[in-house]
Amino acid sequence: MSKTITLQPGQPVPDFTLPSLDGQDVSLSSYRGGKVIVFMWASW
Amino acid sequence: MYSDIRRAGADILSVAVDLHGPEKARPFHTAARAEFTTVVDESNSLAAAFGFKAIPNGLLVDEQGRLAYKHFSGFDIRKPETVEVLEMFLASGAMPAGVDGAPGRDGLPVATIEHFRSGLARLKAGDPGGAARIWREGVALEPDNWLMRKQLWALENPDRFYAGAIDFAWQKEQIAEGR
Repeated sequence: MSKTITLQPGQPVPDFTLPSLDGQDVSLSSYRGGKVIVFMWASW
Repeated sequence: MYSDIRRAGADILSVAVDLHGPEKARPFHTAARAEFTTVVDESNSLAAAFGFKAIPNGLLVDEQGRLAYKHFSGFDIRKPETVEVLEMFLASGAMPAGVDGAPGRDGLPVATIEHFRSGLARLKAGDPGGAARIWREGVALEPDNWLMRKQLWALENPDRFYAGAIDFAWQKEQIAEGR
């Protein structure tokens, strides 16, 4: 079996930083202290 | 909906996975009159970090940054079962152990990530033909990698994707014909 990447409930979610539509860098970790719903979608 | 989420001390972070940049994602954000933040993942980096190969996805992250729930592929906030999970999450944050909205939909092979990356590098270098060739190899290796398959479709059939509307009927035809 080849190596795979999985994410399990209870694990720390890897942080990421991406540019917003306004051009500002936003990190998942900046939401720390509150709950966050991360919704991933595409225009295709 | 969003005000209920804010009242519960939570927030939404929307991630547009779009290799063609913010201008493709912006109309959707505007049309939804979204008050939350939308970020753009132009290099599909989160698929590699989180191990998904299709979208739309939902991740519920608790106050400490731990994963409370995940649903990879077909996440739809309008589905009653999703609403139920969200309400549970907002009310207490305590989720049943091992909760997974769509088990078995993750586990992205590392080899495919390399295919996706090298195809993307070709595309950014102005070689769409090279990108298509590499992604076609990747899709042959892993037919259920919808991120790669749809990017390949979009590359070969831009009129079906970026001519004002997404042609979902055409996408269904492609699936039916095994492309």
